[in-house]
Amino acid sequence: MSHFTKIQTKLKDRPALVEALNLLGHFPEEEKELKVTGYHGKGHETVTADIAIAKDSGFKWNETTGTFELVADVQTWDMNIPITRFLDKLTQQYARMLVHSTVKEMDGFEVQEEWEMDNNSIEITVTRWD
Amino acid sequence: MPTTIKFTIAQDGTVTEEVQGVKGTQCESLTKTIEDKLGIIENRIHTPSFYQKGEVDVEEFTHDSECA
Repeated sequence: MSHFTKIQTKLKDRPALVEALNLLGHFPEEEKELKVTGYHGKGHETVTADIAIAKDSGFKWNETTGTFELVADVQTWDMNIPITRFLDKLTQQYARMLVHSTVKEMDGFEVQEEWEMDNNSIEITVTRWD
Repeated sequence: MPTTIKFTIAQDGTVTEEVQGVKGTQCESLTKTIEDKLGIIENRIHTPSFYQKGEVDVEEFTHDSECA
């Protein structure tokens, strides 16, 4: 055995993000104006999302951090799961998509097996026979 | 001996990657691409075979160029 590495996943790759959204049942529109409730619930701010998933939520690219960030209106959030849980689920699927697409580019590697574990984690084993 | 990488993606999207059976210096470069794409490395643990270079009883791990 060589090493264990723990990686904090960041939403950086647009195609993987869109694929992960599709898997969770969202078919995003690109470059769309969102209307989100302004401070103190007054008025509506307009934000242009790079990837919109509803009229008031979507993802905006942050040049400084180099990641896509969720823009959402907490007052009108109408999905059946809390925002943080949604982001966790999305990030998990995003990482899964990214592992699959990257393995395809790695010479000689193939996905051997993939399991969804009891604790809701996903295990992907890839192998190369030398 | 096959080279195996096991990815465990936790409920919150954090990825743990476990590499087994890599020979030579390709060990870290092998996983660098995927690590760069995924995000930020929180920590990396080299397993005991790295520190027991030359004195392990498993033949595959005794070679000088073994990477860990």
